[in-house]
Amino acid sequence: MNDFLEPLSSIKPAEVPPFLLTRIRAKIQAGEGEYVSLKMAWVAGVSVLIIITINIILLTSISRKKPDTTKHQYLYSNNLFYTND
Amino acid sequence: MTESKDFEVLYHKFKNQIYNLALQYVQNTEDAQEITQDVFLTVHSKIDTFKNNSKQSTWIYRICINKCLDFLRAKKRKKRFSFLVSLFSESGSEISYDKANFNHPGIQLEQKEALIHLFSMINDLPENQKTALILAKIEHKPQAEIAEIMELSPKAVESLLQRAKNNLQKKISSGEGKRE
Repeated sequence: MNDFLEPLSSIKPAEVPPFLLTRIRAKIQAGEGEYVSLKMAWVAGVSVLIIITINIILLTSISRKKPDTTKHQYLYSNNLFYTND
Repeated sequence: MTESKDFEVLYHKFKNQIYNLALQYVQNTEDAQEITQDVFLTVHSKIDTFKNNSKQSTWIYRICINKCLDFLRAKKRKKRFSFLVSLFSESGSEISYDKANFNHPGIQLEQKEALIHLFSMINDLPENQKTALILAKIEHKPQAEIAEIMELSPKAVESLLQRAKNNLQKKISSGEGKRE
């Protein structure tokens, strides 16, 4: 079994290419302008929460006020208003 | 200013270790460079939150292992998708993808075939067994350090290594590891 794993010990360490640090520095510099401050993130989060809450309140109040028309529709469509039952 | 100096010190201290660890996971220089870059970007953004509860090397190794595993998961998803695409196309380009992608600068030419074959089996191991095997057999880390990096007990690491060896043995005896 160990013979089978033997080739693994022949792997030589490789050197990282020198341009990688320049690439990383460039990425860091490019990313620095993209940071959003914590305060802005909080304001955005709270705004979204308020909008969602208003939407939920509106939707629930509309669904409560809505009259139950299904029974009337059923009676009309079957002409049940005119039966003696 | 000191923050970027700290970062550069860390970079020069660990760059080769991180690059080599990524190479053992992905066996491709371009992918390993991308992972190394991602690791150091994460290190840069989290350098303030690093607490001295663990060693710096352990912390950076953990970041690197997570990045490598994320990369491989994404690659697997892509591969599954390309397999689906290849079902509908006539060219079988998907099958030769892995072998063509193997590009490890630390491997000598005469060992290349044997190692492509060995890595193809290691790549099929479960993530934690693969990690334990890479850290122990290629990076030559002591079991205590592997345990610290993987946040496991040394006994659990030993058991993972044993299971990894057993799984490789099974693959060899079932003929799965036959060279193409």
